[in-house]
Amino acid sequence: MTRLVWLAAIAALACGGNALAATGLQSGAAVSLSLPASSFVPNFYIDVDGSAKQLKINVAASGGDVDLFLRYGTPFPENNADTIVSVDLINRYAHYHSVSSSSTEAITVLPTNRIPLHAGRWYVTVVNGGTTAASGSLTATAAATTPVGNITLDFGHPGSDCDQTYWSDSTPATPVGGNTATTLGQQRKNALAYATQQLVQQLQTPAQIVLHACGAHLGGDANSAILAHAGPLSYFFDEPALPVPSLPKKYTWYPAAAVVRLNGTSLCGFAGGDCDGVNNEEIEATFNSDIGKPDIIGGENFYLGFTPDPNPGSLDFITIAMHEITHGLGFFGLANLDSSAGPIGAKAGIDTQNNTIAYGSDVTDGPYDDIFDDNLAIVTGSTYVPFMGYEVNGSRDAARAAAAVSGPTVTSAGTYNPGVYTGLRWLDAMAVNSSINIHHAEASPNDLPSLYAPCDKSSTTTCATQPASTLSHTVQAGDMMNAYYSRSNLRNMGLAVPMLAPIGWSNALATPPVYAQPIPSNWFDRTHSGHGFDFQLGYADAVYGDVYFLTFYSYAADGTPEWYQAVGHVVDGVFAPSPQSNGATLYRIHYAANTQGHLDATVDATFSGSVIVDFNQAANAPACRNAERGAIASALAVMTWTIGNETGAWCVEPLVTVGQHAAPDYNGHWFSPVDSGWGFELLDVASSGAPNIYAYVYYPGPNNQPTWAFATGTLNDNGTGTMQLQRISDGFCRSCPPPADLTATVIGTMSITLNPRPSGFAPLSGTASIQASYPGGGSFTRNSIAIQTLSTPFP
Amino acid sequence: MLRRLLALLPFLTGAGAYADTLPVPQSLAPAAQAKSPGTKVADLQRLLAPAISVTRVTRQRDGSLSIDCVQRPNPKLRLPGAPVSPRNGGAQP
Repeated sequence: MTRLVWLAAIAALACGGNALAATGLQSGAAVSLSLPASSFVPNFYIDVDGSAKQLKINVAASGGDVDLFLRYGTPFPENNADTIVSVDLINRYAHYHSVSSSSTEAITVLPTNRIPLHAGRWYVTVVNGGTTAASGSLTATAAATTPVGNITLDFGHPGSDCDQTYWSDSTPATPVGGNTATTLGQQRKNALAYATQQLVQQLQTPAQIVLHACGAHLGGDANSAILAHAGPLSYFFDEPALPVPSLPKKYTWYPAAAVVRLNGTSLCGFAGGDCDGVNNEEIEATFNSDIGKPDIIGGENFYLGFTPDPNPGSLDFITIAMHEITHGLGFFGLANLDSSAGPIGAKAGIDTQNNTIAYGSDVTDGPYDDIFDDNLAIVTGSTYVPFMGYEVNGSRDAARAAAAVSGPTVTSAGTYNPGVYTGLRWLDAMAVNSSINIHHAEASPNDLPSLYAPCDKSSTTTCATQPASTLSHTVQAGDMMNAYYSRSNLRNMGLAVPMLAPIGWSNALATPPVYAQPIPSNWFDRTHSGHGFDFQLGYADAVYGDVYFLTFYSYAADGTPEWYQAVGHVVDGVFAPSPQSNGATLYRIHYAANTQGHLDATVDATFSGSVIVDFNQAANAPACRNAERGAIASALAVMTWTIGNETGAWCVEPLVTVGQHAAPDYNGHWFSPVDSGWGFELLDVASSGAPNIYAYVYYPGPNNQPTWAFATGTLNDNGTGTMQLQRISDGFCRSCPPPADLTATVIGTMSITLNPRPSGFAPLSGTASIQASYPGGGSFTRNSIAIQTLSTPFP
Repeated sequence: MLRRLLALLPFLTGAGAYADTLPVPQSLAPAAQAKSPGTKVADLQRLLAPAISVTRVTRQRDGSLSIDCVQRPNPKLRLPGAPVSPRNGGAQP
């Protein structure tokens, strides 16, 4: 299907909402599914009342690759005569998803989840993205009970770095401290299970986490050894190029376990892929199987009792496991502290060449904030600033580096006073106000818990960063997450419980997200000034989201002005245009002619492009941190586009705000109802004299390709304006650095006469005359042709 | 505006009742049909942690043991075939 553009496309979307095929689900009652390959069933729904504490959606099917999507409040889009639904579009609408490579999926939504369970209608869409048919059942169950969480231990899946015989060691062992097992391997298993049970109980988490438990020959000598290591197995973040709105803070790293907690599904459900094996696990903990050998630390062995060893300084397995697994839950900052990896204080980005998290010059995508460090502050005297947050091109790396050595000095003797304030503090109120925080009654900022940040002079005379322990440890004496936690054998997580809350482990009722409301205007990226897009409201739609249309004016590789277009809904603050029949969401049109009434503009099916404009939290985006934009940070958006093989992520801002509009207000996108296929955006801006007007005209150029020009002038009292029409003659490609100045060449004239503005939202009208010469001869000419607004006028 | 309101009426009148017919599957757009490993939307986000946390034991001069926790580069990053998903491969915004 090749769709008509401009008015035709807008009208089609206006009609598109009339075929909602919702199917009600009864709680606990399965319905049958039968899905051909590459198909979907939209908008099952279940009505949930205020007593529900969990909503569980399950799909159990065979064949194909069935995925599950869930949305609160309003339905998913459906195919109809003028709307084509792709799995990407379903993702844009989804509030939750489960998309493993199997056909068994599950989502559990709680009042504490990212988009909280609350009364109302929840819509379910089931997709079979596989190449074979699938059949099975779908069940939605609302219950008044809160699920009980668990950390499942995987003692399988051995590898070169994971020796599972550690857990099956048959060496006889004497029961100790409540651990009644009689073999060493089973005692280790029991101790690890006890440690994870403590964590689940103290966090009171409903999450289902999987931990890969390993042994390994990590060696050691008479004086030192590694006891264990652990951490998150993977990290995720949310950005517009990835159509999975899934994390509370966009453009921010989250550890896998927190991602699972926030999204109410398994890791394979969230991240895709196989649900067997380590792919579905969030944390890995490895214990040194050499501990206990006579030549290592004098043969000292782990204490495996459940009750704390009364002997301080022993190798208390459960204390060590709880500390390390807490790091794996997300008690782990990613700001760089190792000078060999990049600048100290640098945020973590991606080395896209090697697909690894990287720092400094190795970063080709990012850098991004991380959710642990996002809760930190840098305290100087009585004031503090965020540790992460808005900055331009890593301009605050040095401040973070200074904060990382702001604590007491460590000398060659190794002395360190753990109870003294550092300049690196935890900012979130949950921990600050907790009675666990020994400073909670003090005045701000002394009440902010300190993080470990020593000035290391153990080997240098200057204050060096201690990359090993800084940042991800507390300094409070006796706290489990103190970097030096051997002084007592612990079973209490201490500050980690409230500190993990803002990372994703909060059990407080979640606040539903508030999505950005776009401003209809001309939007541009100040680092690509000269390109931009006209973004206008077609009509309001309370069901699927308001319909906007976007006209992207730009330049081809040779500098020729060109433009592209997209039409679609704004869903949860994201412009997610509907795909064309070839899957393209950004389309290019082709004209049959340039004569009046015979333009016959059609979509070029050979062109492939896409666009997403995300108006949410754009100030967090790396694209918005490459130039100073702080003063307008609340009005930013990220435009992610592809045109053929080109891609870009631009930080855009409105050229004109609503408050700058003239009165009467003629802003909007105009077209000719008797000559559909060309049009112009009019910016009508208040000034001390006559309103200033700016017009971006989109029309057929030479060879019937879409081109554009612009005009500026003033609008007289009688609604007329006559302007020179100009064309940029030295346009620059989308990936090229902009020239110092662009050269505008006069190519003709444009005059408009606008009728007095009617009241309300009725279309504005008038006439226009245009004469635009082509560079090689010929012109696009219209004389006193009727025009009206295509966009919904501003009130 | 009237046309828009009329378009919504079937939804508004039907929203309060359960339908009693089985739903009919609909076709996905072509872009979604060309599914292959690595193109599934969320598959594209996973990256290995850059570091791990390591608990060490050290014997002090007085003979006691001291335990501390340090960060070290993730050894999995050096393993062949490290489970890193390709990012953004084939995905379109």
